[in-house]
Amino acid sequence: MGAGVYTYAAESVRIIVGGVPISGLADGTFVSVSRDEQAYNKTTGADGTTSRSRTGNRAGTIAITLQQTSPSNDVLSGFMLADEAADQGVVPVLIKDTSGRTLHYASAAWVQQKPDEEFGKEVSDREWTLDCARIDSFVGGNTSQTGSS
Amino acid sequence: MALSDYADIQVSFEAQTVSRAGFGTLLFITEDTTESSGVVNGPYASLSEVENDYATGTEPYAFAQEAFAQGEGFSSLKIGHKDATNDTWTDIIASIINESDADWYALAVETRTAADIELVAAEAQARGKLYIAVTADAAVLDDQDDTDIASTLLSNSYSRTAVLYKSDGDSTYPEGAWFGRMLPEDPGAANWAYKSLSGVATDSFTSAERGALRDKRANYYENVAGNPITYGGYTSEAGKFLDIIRGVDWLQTRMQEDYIAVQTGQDRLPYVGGGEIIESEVVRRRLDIAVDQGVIAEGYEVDVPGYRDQDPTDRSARSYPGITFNATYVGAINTVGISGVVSP
Repeated sequence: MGAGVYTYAAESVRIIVGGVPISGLADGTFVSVSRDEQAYNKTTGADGTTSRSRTGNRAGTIAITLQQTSPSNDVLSGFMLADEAADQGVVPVLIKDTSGRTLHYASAAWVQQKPDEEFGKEVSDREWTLDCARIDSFVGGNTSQTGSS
Repeated sequence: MALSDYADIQVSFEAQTVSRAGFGTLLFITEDTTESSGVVNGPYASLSEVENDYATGTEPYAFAQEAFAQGEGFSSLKIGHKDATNDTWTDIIASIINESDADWYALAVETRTAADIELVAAEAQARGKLYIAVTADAAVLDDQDDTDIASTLLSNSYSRTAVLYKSDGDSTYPEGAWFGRMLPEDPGAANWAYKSLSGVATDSFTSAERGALRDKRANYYENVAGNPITYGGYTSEAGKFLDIIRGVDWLQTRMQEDYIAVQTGQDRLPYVGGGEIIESEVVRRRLDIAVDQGVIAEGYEVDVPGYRDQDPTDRSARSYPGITFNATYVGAINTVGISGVVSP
């Protein structure tokens, strides 16, 4: 069994939307990726025979949570406005953990709707939801710092 | 200007950069004396436009007639001029590219002489163009002959030249028809074999002749089961076909353009995190388009080294090498083997 130490670093997670690196991420969960539908639907008959059907649906959503002060809010607003004005807000999104092997990629994503906003004494968050026509995902681990023995 | 000076993107072999419009553009080089050497006219979008510059009895008109006879799609023909006495084919292609007009992709020439075809094929190979050479030399049909033009080009592994045998090729331009039929298709998405060409007469062959043509990777046009068809989309390099060459050239050129668009679209492409931007905006985005277009199959792999993994020398030189991908051609079927048993 290896004795490596596997290190995850939140700052090593790169989020690229339309070629622009996203920064000013919220504390806590700052990005989440989910598919709209499961890969297979299962049906079990009365006699216990189980069948499955492949959905083929790889569409999904990517939620990015920013601090309200983040300049990336301007970037995502820009894509949203371009979409509303002229359907020009469909862009690629890449999420990659450069300290590991996890990667999510959507070649066609757009802002589903603008985030709900609230203003208070403290800095609050802005959660942007991007709809994706298709998300290709690889959920991997992280890199060993010391190697295995 | 070569985009490769800025984005060193290699997809199996190198293509000369052409514009988006230029990728569907065909250059026909003629020894017609309407213009002086090196002049390139066009692009012409129709035969009537050609007719404004060239009389109906000229070779450019005859070529254009075949190219534009294939339907609505083909719309970009250029006509370049060579001096029959003073220019070699090597010189005139170099001159046109360097001094007149390099924004074209497909190449056809007036000559049918084997020695000339060899020169043109060598230039097409070196300059990333796609050339269809037509021959009416019956030696191509002889499987014992290995000195004919098809055999010679095959021995040179010219992946950017396709030989088309036509018995009446000395007086017709079937390559104009073939280009006119195929250039409007999305690059890489259509097999150049099994295509009917308007206004082109078919040949007929014995089995031995057909075998010789295939062995020498010479294309031909014949009637099969009532259908006039081209066969087989070969280039003069084993394993390489016209659709694959054009598809890969398209992929490489578009990736280079995408890279330039990323560079010009922002204040700077940062070294830290820049690899991921290129991965998203240039490599994966274009590969997804190539999948949608039917050039490559799903399931490609991309590898982008992190900036920390780059050599300090490269970092100081602002060079980001080592981005690679692996993809599989969709390809096409030319022949099929089906066997079955029917029992009483």
